[in-house]
Amino acid sequence: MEEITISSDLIKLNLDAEDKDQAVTFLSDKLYNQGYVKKEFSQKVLDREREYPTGLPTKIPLAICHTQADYVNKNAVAVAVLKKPIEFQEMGNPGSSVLVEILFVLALGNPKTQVLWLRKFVKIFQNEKALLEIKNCESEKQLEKRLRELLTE
Amino acid sequence: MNNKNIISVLGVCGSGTVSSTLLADRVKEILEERKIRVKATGVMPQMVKDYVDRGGIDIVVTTSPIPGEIKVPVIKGVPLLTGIGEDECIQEIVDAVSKILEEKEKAA
Repeated sequence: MEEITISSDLIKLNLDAEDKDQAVTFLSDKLYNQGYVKKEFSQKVLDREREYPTGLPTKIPLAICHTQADYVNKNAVAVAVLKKPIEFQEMGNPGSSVLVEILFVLALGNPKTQVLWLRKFVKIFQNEKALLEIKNCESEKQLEKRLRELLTE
Repeated sequence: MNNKNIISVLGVCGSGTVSSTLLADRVKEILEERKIRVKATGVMPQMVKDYVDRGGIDIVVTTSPIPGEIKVPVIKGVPLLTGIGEDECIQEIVDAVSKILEEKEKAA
């Protein structure tokens, strides 16, 4: 399976953003500035989020923003725990929204192998305890470590 | 067992790559656990109507709204990603597929 970068440089705790565009752009910029994605990535993620929202009504609501593999140089995941919940539209349920507390921006290349990664993420999303742990991490380093453990379990 | 007993599943998500494949795989697992043979593919929402109209698709499981009128059962698959309401979602799929298999049986 292809590697995916999980790094405290791509994690932000207590992100104080006004709306979803600001929050998503913050993480996309981190990915771009560190060379994981192409310049268009940020806009493409926002466009896609408008057309196909990714807010999930999990126990701790979250969003998994992403876009086509074309705009990705190298697999990585950026994560933000939001200072105050932000409204995202709900996946598959037009007109409904969720108040997101944890935001994931996934930069995934090759779609075929990435299904395996998404599968691992879905396991985390279904695990309320894991989501609480992520939300309550006290440092970016701690979240990096916990996320790595959760993804390799 | 012949082709008539194979259920053909279309998994659908926004980009037609990752989540749709994940959904398709998950439905395959669910049905195979119940000894139902499955062929599963992942596509984008815009492609669903063409796929279904061409024939051979039995059921659609999706995370996105699908444009057009779809002639086979369409099941909302987000619970398979969140785990919330997953049992109900699985039941809905199993019920729909059981009905399809009965109809195939009758038609045979």
